[in-house]
Amino acid sequence: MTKGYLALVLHAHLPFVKHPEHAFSLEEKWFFEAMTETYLPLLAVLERLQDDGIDFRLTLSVSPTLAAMWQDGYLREKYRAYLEKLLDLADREVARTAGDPAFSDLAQMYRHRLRETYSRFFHLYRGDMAGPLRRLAATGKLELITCAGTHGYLPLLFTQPEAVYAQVALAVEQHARLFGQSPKGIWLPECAYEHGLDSILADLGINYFFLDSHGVLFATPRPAFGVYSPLVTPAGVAAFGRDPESSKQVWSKTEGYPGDFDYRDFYRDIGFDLPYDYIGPYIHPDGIQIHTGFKYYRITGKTNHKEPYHPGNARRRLAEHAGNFMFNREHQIEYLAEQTGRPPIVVAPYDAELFGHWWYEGPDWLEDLFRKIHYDQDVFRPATPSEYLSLPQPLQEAEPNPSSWGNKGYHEVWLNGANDWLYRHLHEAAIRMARAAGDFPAASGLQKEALDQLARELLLAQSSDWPFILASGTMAGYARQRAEDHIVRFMRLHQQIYNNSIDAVWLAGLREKDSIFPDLDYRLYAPRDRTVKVAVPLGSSV
Amino acid sequence: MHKLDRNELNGGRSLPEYYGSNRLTLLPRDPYWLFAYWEVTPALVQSLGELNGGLSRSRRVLRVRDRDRGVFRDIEVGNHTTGSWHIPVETAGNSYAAELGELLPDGRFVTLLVSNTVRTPRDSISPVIDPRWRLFAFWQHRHFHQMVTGLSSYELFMETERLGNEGVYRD
Repeated sequence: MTKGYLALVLHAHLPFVKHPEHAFSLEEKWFFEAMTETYLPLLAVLERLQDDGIDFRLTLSVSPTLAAMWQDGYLREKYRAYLEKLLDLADREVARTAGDPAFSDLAQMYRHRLRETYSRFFHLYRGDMAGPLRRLAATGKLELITCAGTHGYLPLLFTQPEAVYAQVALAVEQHARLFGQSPKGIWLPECAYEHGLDSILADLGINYFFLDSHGVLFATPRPAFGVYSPLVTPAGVAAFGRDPESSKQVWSKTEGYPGDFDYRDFYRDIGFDLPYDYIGPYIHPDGIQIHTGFKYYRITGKTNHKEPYHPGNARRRLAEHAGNFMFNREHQIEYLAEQTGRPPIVVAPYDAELFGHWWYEGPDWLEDLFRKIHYDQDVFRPATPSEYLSLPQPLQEAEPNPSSWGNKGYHEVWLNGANDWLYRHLHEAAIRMARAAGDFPAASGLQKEALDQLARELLLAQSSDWPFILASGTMAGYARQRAEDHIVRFMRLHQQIYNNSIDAVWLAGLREKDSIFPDLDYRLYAPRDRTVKVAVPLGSSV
Repeated sequence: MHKLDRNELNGGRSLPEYYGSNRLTLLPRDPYWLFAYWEVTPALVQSLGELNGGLSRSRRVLRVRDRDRGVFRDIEVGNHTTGSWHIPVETAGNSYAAELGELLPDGRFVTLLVSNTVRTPRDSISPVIDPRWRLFAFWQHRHFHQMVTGLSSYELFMETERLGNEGVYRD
């Protein structure tokens, strides 16, 4: 008998990165690696589960910036070239390791997987990620949800509510266009919540969102079922809280599954291990050593000593880990159901890129887990948040606590000495954007193109990725440049719009470079009229 | 240089130092910290100075008001056009606002800018219990500690006792 539910949630996101001005870009490689190691393997897993009749449920948030990169023709062709180069390296690796029992099979495995990836994306999907996701979503087993437009950190943009509204409205619109229906739920960037955000979500037809555990636990009034039942916010949106226990089993560096010694080591890579004469053409053109994806060792232990990776051993281990995760959920859900007298929901959200990119075996673990849940137990069922919300049971009303899932649980990661300088510019730009939308309510031609691009520059500047990277230190230079670039371009364009001196050639360059959301309309920022006007045309009889 | 090179697109410009606006913004960072930034134009300072008999002997102050308790605290900040400050505050789940102003030697405060009002997040379980969902309160007493990071069973017990003494769980 089903005593409760498990909602597995993956959040897929990368910032919008596109560098036509460089033949090679380290930052574009984030996207290419995630395609190869995470998104395409996850799609393969879901399609296999579907083909085998497994009754799985997965909630996947696709950030609008990631979706925009999926739709970008330039990036698609650059990804093709990237994969072709890796396939070339794979051939060389197979030849190099021939006769070496420890590595030969691994080189062949990588080549096989790369060929499979290439063929899946370019032949089976014809370069379109939205199609297979739409088909899976139509089965009801995959629930696609959205995220804020450019992953803006909404609580820190909320001084200009119209900027927050635009972030969410744009996301809902893009999602509906790409996936054929409006998103029922949203992954708030970094799970970051502030009082009042729920009204904007409600206005845009969003039914639910997620919070870190304390966003729900510290709600007012106190939540009767802890994080094991969603709350209904004052605006009528459901807030699901993260289950700390299941999160920790997968996330934790020390206790989590991905750190198992049999799993593949992320850091040892031929990009660092092999001599320049050989690996030169496959690393950074300036000779900087980088990851190639060819990794032949297992984690082995806590020292630098590494032993060869054995996929068979890793496979056995991931089956154990999937079994362990299921076993723990069975006990947890049985216990919670008994204590509360109603079916609990355990919400287990993860960054999608953890699966495959960081934790190589992650997608296979997920596949194993869904198969086991389907065949080996009947205590709980996997569910989407929408399914849980449709159960005939009342939900408690409460005001969630402002919070995030970042370090220390609030906004400090995105607002500290390393990135606080950013907000004066973001807020100023948001004020100017709203004003411009009011000042030019019906622009057309070049002026409209300029205003649309003005909105794109604002949105790109607002990505939470820039303050996050600034605070984390690595690649901080890139994040600073990106934030600066978009603010500087915004201000320059703003000046040209108001001076009626738009530089058409320069604007064309901006539109080519910062090309996110081609269908965006700047009137998204126009003042919203909350009152309903009933206009009666003159001369008509009522 | 490629036509889409960043220097080309940025037209050699860098981030503006000033926007010529008069604004004080407050952001809540966590239950015990706020962040404030501001820009105040020389024209505004001058006109308010003239109205108040000059500001040559005054000090620029950020006045942080506890809106729920009606008390305030002054932080002396430099009299530059722009500035920012990370402000420790005492109470979680509390409303704050700030003013940037000039404190005159006679104790008068000349307000230059007024901020938005913010509310710090809570850092603990709410003492408020919805009577419609009271039935499950016993369960929470025993098991909240498993879910609230950093709260030991003992602390949870004490918290429950305290709330009990305040009559929150009165039957």
